[in-house]
Amino acid sequence: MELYKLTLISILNRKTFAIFAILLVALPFALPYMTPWESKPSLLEPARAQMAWVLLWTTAISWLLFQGATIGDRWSSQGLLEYFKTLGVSRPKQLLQIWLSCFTVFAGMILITFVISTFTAMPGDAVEARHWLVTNLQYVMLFFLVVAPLLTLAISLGTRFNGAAAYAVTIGIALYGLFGISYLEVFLADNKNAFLNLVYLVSPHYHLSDLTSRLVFKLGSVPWGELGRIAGYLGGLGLLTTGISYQLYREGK
Amino acid sequence: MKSSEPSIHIPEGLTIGYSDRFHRKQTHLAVAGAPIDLGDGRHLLLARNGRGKTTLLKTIAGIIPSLSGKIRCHGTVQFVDEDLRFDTELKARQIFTALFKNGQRKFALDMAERIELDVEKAYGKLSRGNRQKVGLIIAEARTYHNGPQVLLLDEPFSGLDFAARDKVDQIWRENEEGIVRLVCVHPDEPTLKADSAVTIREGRLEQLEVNGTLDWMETRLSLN
Repeated sequence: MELYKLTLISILNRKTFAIFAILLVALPFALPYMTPWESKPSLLEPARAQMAWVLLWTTAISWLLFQGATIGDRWSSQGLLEYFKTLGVSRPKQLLQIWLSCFTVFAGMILITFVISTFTAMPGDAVEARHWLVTNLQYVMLFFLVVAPLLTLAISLGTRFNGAAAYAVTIGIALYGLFGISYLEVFLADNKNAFLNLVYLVSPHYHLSDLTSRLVFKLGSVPWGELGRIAGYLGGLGLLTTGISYQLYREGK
Repeated sequence: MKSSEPSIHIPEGLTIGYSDRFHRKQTHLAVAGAPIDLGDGRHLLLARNGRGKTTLLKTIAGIIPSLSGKIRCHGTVQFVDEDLRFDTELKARQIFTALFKNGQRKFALDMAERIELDVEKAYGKLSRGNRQKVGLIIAEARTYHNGPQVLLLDEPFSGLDFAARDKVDQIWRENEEGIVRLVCVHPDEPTLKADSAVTIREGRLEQLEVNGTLDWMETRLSLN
């Protein structure tokens, strides 16, 4: 696990994660006070949960994927991955160790978000509280199914191209899957276009993992059958993304 | 050779070079006219620029495939490229901590002290020679109590002053058991002790017997 340790120590040494960690802790408590909470104090808790999850998505897109892309670029350019190859560390193990080092730090951020959203914004009613806890757990699982493979893709693209290009491609895919598809869906509601329908079908529907509105409007947890279908879809998409990432991964440029 | 001794065997007819992505066009750099066997000890790899020194090292390390023939290595292989670099923000001590435990880490720090490397300075702020020292220390520390080793070193002395080279040379002599060192140097390097030399000349890989010390002037002339 030397590559894991070397990458982790590099991430920790640069300390940029600390800025996002501080924002993840502070902003969910500060920003909800910008809502008209005085007239409706019950807004504070859902706003806090919303802010916590929005910040986590922002951190994933702006920090995690960037780390993966630039580390892949640097390690590949600097001969480090070829060095570990000669020591017998295979491509899958290298990719896993780099992924694990980025996710070790990010896991702490997911935990911060989960704790803030679950325990500092939990409704008082017992039934609602149980749904709240389950919804947050479901959200963590679906979030992981989207972000984990995207990180793998960012790292692999970084080993093959430069870090900026790798990052741009990965966040482009992420943002399209989270938001862009909604615009396509609106367009297709009024326009029957076979090609665009096909594009819609094969697009990555990452927005399915976004349970923020269920928390804000207290809609309750996702029914288990539906959760299973969503998780199955995102898990399959994740496996496909990981497989493509493995093919793209290179030890040297 | 005993099974516990490290070794590199380059068969007759082995060809090194490159092929394009679709394996349609091949660029041959050199072919071994006779088998080459490298055992315990220090072996120099000599050739002019662009003749295939790094390609041979990478082929032995398994980073790139040979165009024909198969090299056999016994022992843990390490290829330390001349251009191997680390995160500019990390100190050498942090790099050693990440890569090594216990005895190997102590060996690395002791060696750093002997060859005068400041382990508390960020890697990005080290001079070229001192960065080279980091790679040398890592290669050497990994051999510590780690079974048979094959070290492939690509121009490890570039950027090092005479004092540092002498100290590295001494450490190699103290630490030579159970290690094959194939060291790529320019024929312009000062005289180095070696057990043999592998040369790449006019597209041929050859092994020269060396009686302890290589005469660099004679070698340089023969490679021209």
